[in-house]
Amino acid sequence: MSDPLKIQGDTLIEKLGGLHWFWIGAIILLLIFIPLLNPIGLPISTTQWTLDAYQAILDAPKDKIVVWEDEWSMGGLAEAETGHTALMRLLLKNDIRFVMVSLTPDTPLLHSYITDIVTKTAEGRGKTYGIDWAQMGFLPGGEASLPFMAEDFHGAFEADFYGTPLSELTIMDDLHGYEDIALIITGSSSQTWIESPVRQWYVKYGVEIISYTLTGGTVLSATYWPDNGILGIIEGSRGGSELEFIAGVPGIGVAQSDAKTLAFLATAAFIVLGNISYFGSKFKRGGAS
Amino acid sequence: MIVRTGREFEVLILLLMIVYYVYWVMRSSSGKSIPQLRNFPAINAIEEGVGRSVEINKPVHYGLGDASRLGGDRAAGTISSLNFLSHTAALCARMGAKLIVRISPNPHLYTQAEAIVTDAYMSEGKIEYLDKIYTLRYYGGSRGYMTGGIRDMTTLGVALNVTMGALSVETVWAYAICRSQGGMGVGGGSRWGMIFGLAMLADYALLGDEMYAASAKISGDRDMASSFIGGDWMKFSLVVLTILTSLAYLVGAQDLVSWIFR
Amino acid sequence: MSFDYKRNVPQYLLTLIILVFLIEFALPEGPLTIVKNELTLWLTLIASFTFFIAAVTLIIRYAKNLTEKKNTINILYAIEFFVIFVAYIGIALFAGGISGDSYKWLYTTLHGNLSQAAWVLYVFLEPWAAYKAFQLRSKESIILAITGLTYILYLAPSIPAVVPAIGTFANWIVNVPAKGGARGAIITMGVGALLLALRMLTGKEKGIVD
Repeated sequence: MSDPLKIQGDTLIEKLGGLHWFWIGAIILLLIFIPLLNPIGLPISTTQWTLDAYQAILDAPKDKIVVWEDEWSMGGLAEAETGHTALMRLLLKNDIRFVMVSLTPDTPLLHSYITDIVTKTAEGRGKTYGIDWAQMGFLPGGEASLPFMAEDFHGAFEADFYGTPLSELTIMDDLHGYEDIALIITGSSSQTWIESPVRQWYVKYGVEIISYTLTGGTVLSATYWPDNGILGIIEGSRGGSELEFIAGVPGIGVAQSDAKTLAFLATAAFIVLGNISYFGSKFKRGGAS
Repeated sequence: MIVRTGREFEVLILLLMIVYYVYWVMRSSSGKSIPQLRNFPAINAIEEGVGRSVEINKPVHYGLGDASRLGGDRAAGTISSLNFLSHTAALCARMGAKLIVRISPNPHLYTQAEAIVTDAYMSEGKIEYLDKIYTLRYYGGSRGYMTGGIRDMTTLGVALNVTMGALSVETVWAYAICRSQGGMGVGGGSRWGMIFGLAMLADYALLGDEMYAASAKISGDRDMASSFIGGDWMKFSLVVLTILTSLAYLVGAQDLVSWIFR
Repeated sequence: MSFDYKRNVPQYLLTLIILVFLIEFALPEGPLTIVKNELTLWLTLIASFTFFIAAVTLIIRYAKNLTEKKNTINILYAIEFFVIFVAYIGIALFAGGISGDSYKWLYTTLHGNLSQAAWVLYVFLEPWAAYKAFQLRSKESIILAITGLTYILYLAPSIPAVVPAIGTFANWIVNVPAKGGARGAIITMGVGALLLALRMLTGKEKGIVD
């Protein structure tokens, strides 16, 4: 294994480009920890696609149900917790009925985890499971399972995640197929998943979508935004922080925003450093970078 | 209506694709000449890397792809990866290089990988040199795949890292570690949203369709290669259509083409 | 003439199913739509079954580790696998099911935390990858570095609030070149997927049934 204490290069300018990945990561980790322990309160900017997502949720017809299909898992909790919590609080705050669906085996436990947090918030108190929202279990099949849900929701799920038959959940009386769906919120820690719900939900059934994707996934989701099926985009924890700010449901997003800002600034600084070293070495004869 | 309302354009595209495909595959099957697929430096680089592995006595690492599975939109990339695995394993068996195969988080691929590597070593007459426990490594879920792959590359060293298939974050960590260990990185990804890592960090990259075409080239399958030529004709047709549609909108004649977007 | 059942039967089945889907796509809704919907349902059933197959594959693999070779580390890994496997199944069956508190605690504490801890590696690897890869060695890398750097700064929630020009430029990158390139890539992917389907239909895709 290459030695972290050995910095490649002979001169100082060459050494600037020869840092081991351990030191770069260590510095960035430190910059992440500082605001998590002591939030700085840096300003947060909002993006058009998050504003559009927020508005689309508010505009969802109240006589229909929002279906939140999700591929996020516990492994992505750090990235997902802000957005999931903010989204659930936003839906409950505005009396928008929704049903959570899991498309991976891990996701029901993530939903339970988030539900445990949200039911203790101001938005969650006074809401009743089975009337205001419901949580389904895992539906295997990936993209192939989406038309199954769209055609016959009760056929796809006989019971919810807790084993309660759908006939005993009041909210499910109003959700049988795609005609009863106001909006799809599709969450995934994969940037490329978005094509599957666009193909199935929007192209086949005309149901519009909000994409809740990983940080960096906006580019792919934006391919269909704003008028090709995707009404808005929530981009990972950054989008979650924005949603907290826009919707007025403050949470852990603020501290995470500060941490992200410092981490990304440091990354940008290292990129500049790497180029200073590269061009500096280039002008020296026999330099190594 | 013979065709479902709203799908006229899609059906037209489908029929055109079928025409191109049938033409080129029939041409290939009847032994007529077909345009050659261009050379892919990545294919030669694999052989070069295996040779290097023998010289410096460090293993070749082959990743089947952290998002690979034989289903859905990832099937094609996964099958290409298995073709490349066969090629790489045969080279390793022939030259006497140590091979480590990272089995994707999807455990079904273990059986396929085992069969392919075994066949490759048998065809080279080197089956007694195959140590399946050393070579075939299954690390569990995608996080285990990553940490196990990093551990093996850093502790055992890496002369060549080849990763083909449906890739996710492996495009970053595998090539970052490979580069930091002084190894050569050759990769191909079918998931176009994740191939930025290959473009940034791999020494030789096969992006999207290039991987399928290179897979056809190493398998020596003329019919498969001819199907790619049909695909290229389809792409040219779509480029022409895009230009014509854009011009139509530019000159205010969108009524002529608006039926496409129904 | 011998009939290669192992190869031909799956191929014929595959050809038939692909034909059903392709023809149903083109035709107005009718009897074939019912067949297609039923096949889609079966796809979901098969996907569920593959999880069971995956479990069996893993058990066989780790059992081999226990019995085949005298390698202490592999034996320890195999023991670890079986202990955790049995623990999860036991708790799911006898302690409240997968929606019960015990299972949730075990999953969140063990699997959830370990999964997230593994992501910490990216803090070390990805910035280093950018530090090395975004050097302005060529025309292409200049474009890569400028767009990459802009998007990195844009992803920092506070930077566009302080320097609005970064937000404007990043929006342009997303809405113009990235969107155009992404749509081109999607079209290409569509052609590739169609080609794959045609090769499978005509038995030219060797890896699928072999």
